[in-house]
Amino acid sequence: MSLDQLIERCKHNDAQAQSQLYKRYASKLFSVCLKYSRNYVEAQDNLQDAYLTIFKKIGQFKSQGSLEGWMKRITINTALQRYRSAGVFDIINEDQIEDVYVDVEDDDMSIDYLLNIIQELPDRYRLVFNLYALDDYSHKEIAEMLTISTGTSKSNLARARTILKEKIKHYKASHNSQSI
Amino acid sequence: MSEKKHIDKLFKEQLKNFEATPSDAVWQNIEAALKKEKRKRRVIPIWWKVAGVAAALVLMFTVANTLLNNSGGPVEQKVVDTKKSNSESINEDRIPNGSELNTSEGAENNTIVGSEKNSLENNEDNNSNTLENNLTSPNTSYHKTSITLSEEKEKQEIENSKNETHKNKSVIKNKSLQRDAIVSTENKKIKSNKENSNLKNKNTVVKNANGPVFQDEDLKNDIRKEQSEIDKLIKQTKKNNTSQVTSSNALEKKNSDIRIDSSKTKDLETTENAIAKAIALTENEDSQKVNDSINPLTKRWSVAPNMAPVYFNTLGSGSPIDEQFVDNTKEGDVNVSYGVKGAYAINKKLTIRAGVSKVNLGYSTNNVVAFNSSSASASSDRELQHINISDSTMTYLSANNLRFANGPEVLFLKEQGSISQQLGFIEVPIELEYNVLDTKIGVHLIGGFSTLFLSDNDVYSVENNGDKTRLGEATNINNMSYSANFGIGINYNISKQLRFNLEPTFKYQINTFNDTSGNFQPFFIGVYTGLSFKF
Repeated sequence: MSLDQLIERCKHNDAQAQSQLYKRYASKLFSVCLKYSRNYVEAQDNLQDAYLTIFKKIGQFKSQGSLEGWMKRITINTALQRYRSAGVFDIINEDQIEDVYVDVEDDDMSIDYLLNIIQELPDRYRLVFNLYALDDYSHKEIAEMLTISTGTSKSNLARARTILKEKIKHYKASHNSQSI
Repeated sequence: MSEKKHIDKLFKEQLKNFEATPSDAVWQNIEAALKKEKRKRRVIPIWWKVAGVAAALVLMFTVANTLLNNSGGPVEQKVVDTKKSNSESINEDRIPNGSELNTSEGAENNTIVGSEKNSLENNEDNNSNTLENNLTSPNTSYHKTSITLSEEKEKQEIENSKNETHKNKSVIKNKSLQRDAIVSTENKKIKSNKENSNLKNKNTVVKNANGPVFQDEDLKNDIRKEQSEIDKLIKQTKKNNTSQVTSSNALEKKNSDIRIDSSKTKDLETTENAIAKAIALTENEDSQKVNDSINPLTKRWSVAPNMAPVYFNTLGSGSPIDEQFVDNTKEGDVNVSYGVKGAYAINKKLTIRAGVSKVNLGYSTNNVVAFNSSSASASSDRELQHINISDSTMTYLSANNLRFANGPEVLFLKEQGSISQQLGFIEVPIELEYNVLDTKIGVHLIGGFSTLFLSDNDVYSVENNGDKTRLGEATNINNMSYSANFGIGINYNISKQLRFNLEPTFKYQINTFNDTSGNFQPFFIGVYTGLSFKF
């Protein structure tokens, strides 16, 4: 079944087509959910909600665009809806924002670990870090999506980076001490 | 080997090709939800079909009502045509008058078949003599025709005794039809202006002559039966050569010329009077019946602003907030609903009505302990399932679930408060009203359904001292839901235009929450009071 056929059948609520569409993109979209969610269980919840929205709104999808991109945006939006309202109130001065560099060695840290420390970030920091660093949204876009100011977006990003760096540092220290 | 790397780049590179397979449970949940969605979709169209039918009915009656009021035109023309073709030769004097008589005459002419043309012409020639005297009142015209009919019969008897029975039959038929037309003409005449003038008046008469005949088939049959009985009596008297007298006696009070004739046969007066009375009686009855069936429907439309105290509660034990509150006691709030309804009376018994109103509903979940989650780390993960909480520093627990084993002792010392959920809807009801009792104080039954559009959605935490803080909004309430409505209405007719209504109504809500814990079946009871204005 071609992708166009698949989309067409999904528009008519064909159960078999819906199942195929799910299988085709589940692992890609689940990785998005894992990055944007607090933990594995909530990532599954978000994936479920995202797919339900996709099936509901597939009639609005225009075949000129990329289906995967469209589905990914819906998935991200689902996560944003869930965590957007959770406020983080500490505001830091924009002057303090600086680029953060860390020492890395090849294959130093597992993907699981990196994913884990992203999930541990406070909700807003996690969303901003994901959107900016991993999915290439601008601060302006992020500000609109999360209904915050660009300044808040920038400061949240900086806080996220700092926290991540601290965790990596900590991890390495304990790792090194173990290896010695 | 160590190097400095920007932290964004590190994460991006590492997670670039990251994929993970979710567990099968996710798809199973999605599949189940999709099936549920399909079922829901099937339920909704039924409501919409009912609403569509109701709306179509209202529209149909509206259109029919306006058409009936405005279009005498084509009907009138028809009658004029038949009158011209059949009765042109009869009497030119009548044509300029153009009153009810002509139209009823036209209808009469129309019903008589070609084979009877000769007798008809005789009949009408005779008619023309008496008609001139009686044109002003349709009441007398009835008597007049009965006279002429009997006169005609007499003539026929003499001239053509072989065809007698056949002709009589047709004449009886003819007469009863004419009678119908006259009865309705009489009724209508009461309502329309009494001057017989011009097209306008003609219009109403034409319309009316058709109206009641269609509306009340039974009544027509009754009239026919009674008429044929009377005709038999007339026939009998005719055999005694007194038919002329009989009918003329009925005219006695009004027509002095014929009264002189009637005075010759005084010995038969008693029977004649009885017949005349019978005729008058049936006439009165008929006109009353027709009047009854027409008068109440003159004011079909009404508008009624109303307001009601509404009490909200649930039939089952459950909670739309969180599963831990399933067993907590719930307390319904009393709020106010207000709105306006428009109604259209389909007939005397049945009224269809629709409207718009604002309704606020609320209830409290009792025995809830609220505490600052930062101080009680044991339960900091706990969130309310279906509430989007704006202030996440507080945690809410059902006191029923607290055990010494799983909670810090400090919790038991806390006072218990409640969580109050407040919902506002725009309600669009479509209902049928059935009149059980239609007197000065009337009783009616109400059944129908409402479509509810969510307009307010708030959840508050209420402490024992009455302090109220907004927690956020519920995430599991459908923007559109329905209710099935049942009620009994009592009304008091203050005047013909004004009516006071009192309608206790039970509304069972359907599809309000899309996910509740336990068995939460919301309903509300409203005592709707208001004034309705008829027009």
